[in-house]
Amino acid sequence: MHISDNGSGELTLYGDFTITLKVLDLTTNGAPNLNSLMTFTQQVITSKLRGGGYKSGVIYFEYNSSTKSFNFRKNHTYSIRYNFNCGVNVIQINMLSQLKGNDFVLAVVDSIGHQFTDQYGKKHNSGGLAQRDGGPAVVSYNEWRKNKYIGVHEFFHTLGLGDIEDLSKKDRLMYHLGDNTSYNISDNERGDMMSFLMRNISDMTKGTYSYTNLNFNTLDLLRRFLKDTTNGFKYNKAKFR
Amino acid sequence: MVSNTTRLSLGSILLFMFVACINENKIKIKAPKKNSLPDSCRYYAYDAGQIVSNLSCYNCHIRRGERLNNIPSFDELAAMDSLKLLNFVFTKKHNGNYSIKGAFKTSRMDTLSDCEIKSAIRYIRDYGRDISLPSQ
Repeated sequence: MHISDNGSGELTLYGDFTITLKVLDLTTNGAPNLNSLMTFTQQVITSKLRGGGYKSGVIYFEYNSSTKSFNFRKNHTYSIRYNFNCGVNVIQINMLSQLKGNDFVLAVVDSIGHQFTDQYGKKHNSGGLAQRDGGPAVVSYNEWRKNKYIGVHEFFHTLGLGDIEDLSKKDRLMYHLGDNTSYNISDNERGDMMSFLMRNISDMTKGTYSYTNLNFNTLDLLRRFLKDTTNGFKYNKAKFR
Repeated sequence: MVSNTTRLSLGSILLFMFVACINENKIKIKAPKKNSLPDSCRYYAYDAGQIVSNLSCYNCHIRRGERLNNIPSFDELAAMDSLKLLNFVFTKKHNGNYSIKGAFKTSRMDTLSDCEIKSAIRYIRDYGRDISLPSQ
């Protein structure tokens, strides 16, 4: 990973990320279409993260390109181009032991009883639920079959994006009221996800580093998320032991 | 003994409040008065998230588990109560760099309305609450 400074207030961050999303089938009767849904999800995540991200007006510490380090005593406003190549793997796991400390996880359940009320006062059923910023994501298998983008939508919560309810933005992937006209991601959202993945710009000056995706215990978080009765998950509990 | 403990506590608080990305002075933002917000001030998580994103808070206040240059992480901010957060983030800290005359005047914090400040504070507080994000 490295940083390039054009000398006019623009930093370009280069690097390669490999993202692995582990899918855990917790459905009672199995999920025959799971492979095709996973393939679709992998393709969409890859394409949405392609092209990098851009954020302007980013206030950070001054970068010294000759020493390749940041001066923590001086601030500077930059435009940042996130020129990352993201390899994406969406893989199925069959045992909980395959879920390690900080993995990204998407659990597939029979149904979700949780309902939410949008900003216009209308109630909706939930096809997916996620905890943001590295947390677990869960989708209802039947709802995923009806709307193939739910898996990506939930995973992008994991990468830090929020839900959109503005009716003028129905063309956005993070619009979550079900009547999407398209599934676009803005440069800013892409920048936010890249920023989440990168976590700490100054780490980039240390050369190759192993990204540890926050200090999470994904398995424990998923266990608590599944057990939370307000979420109303129905799934085969025998598969989660 | 009591006096030493008090001194120690005050010292810790001062030390904690000292850290920030920035080094200048003065920022003036009116604290939102109780019951003074218009009825139209509703909380929209996405918009509040955009305020936080556009101010690039996460670059210095790293999300969880570690501090950059001894700056409190975002989850540490989330653990503060609203009043402390208001003082820490918007009133006393950042040393004026985000104000009209500050070094980062293009990202001015003092142009945020009371409603936006309230929303941003709720967004930061919600960060520590593991709220589920649903989609249809």
